[in-house]
Amino acid sequence: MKDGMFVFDAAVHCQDFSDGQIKDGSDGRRVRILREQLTGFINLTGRRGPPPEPETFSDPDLDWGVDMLFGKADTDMACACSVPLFSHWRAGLGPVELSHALAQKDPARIVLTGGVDPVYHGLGPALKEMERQVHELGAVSFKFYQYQSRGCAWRADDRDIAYPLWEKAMKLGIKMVQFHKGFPLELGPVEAFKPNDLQYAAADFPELNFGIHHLGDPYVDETISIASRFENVYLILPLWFNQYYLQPYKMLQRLGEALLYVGSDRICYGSEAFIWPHVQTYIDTLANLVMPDELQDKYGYPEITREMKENILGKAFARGMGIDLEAKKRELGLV
Amino acid sequence: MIDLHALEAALDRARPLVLGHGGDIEITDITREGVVHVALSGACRACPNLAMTFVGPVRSYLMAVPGVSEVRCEQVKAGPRALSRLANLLHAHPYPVA
Repeated sequence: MKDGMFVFDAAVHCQDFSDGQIKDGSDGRRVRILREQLTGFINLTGRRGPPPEPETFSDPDLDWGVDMLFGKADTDMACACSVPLFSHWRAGLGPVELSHALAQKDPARIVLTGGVDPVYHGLGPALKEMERQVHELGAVSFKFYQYQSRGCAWRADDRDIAYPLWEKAMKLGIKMVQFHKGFPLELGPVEAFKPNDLQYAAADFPELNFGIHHLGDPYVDETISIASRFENVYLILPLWFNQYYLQPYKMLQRLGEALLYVGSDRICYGSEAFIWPHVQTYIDTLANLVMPDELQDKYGYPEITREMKENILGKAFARGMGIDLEAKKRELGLV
Repeated sequence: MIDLHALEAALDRARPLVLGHGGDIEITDITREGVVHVALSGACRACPNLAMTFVGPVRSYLMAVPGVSEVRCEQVKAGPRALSRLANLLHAHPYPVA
């Protein structure tokens, strides 16, 4: 708990950037590019904080990870989020089995977000894999990357490819499906990650929540517009924090827009650990965040209240995932 | 004590403005202290101009009804500084900064 506020980290990854992920017959260029991109990103955005620990963000030691989340930080719950990028990665960039292994380290605190791809693997196998990840691994959500490689992409509003996924998710008791939007990884085209395809899906599946990661950067305006109109769309903030240290005013403007048009009850904290493992930095930042008077005056953004911080730090994501936070607090001995 | 007929009449002044833009408005609660809660629906729900519609005609008309101490709309997320500035610019009923 941070000052009495429940902290639920919506985005923790166990990723594997090692050469062991390079597929047979591949020159490994894509794997190396992403590794270099992320290392560069960490070096750039983390320069105001403690020195980065690049050896820890790939295939992390799980006990160390649990300690970084719960021992060295005020995190109460976390979501181990798979990264189902398969084209250039032997086991997927964030293998579901590795995320599952992290969740098993502290099952009361860590929930699993699985991942499948209906185009790369085919719809039938993807649906079967969803069942397996729920029944065998205990997945409570799914994360989707809708572009694998040239010609291998899909839209969330595709009735043939995507809607069976949403129907299956609901049948499996899933409350929220999540999407990597914007911020293309390695050489993928940015437009493949526009959030616009979520509109019909959100309208046609009002009982299912749709989580958008990264504010859809660079499609931030579209993302906020969509979330403002569809009450089952949630904004999940990983990378916002990472970028905040580099560009605080720009990030405050983005958060201000989201608070103004969407509201804190659908904005969710996510650390993107273990890219930057010192997650307490993020928690402290959010807990102490102030909307500058100038931004309130010039852009109409609200003051950031304790109620908003409580929502963002944990309540919003718990609600979107269908997790009873009060029951969880009792289970964890926090009340 | 709020005169409910007067309140409804005030709301009827504001309603055509929002109906004309594909929205609607209703009173969702009235407290003993005279606080009137309203909700905007339809196109107003996610309109970027929601704060202006609220602080301009809606709140001004309703605040003019005897007994109404404040008007609130949970959908309006703008902070009090912004709402106060808007009210001043529109010559609407003053909005308290704090």
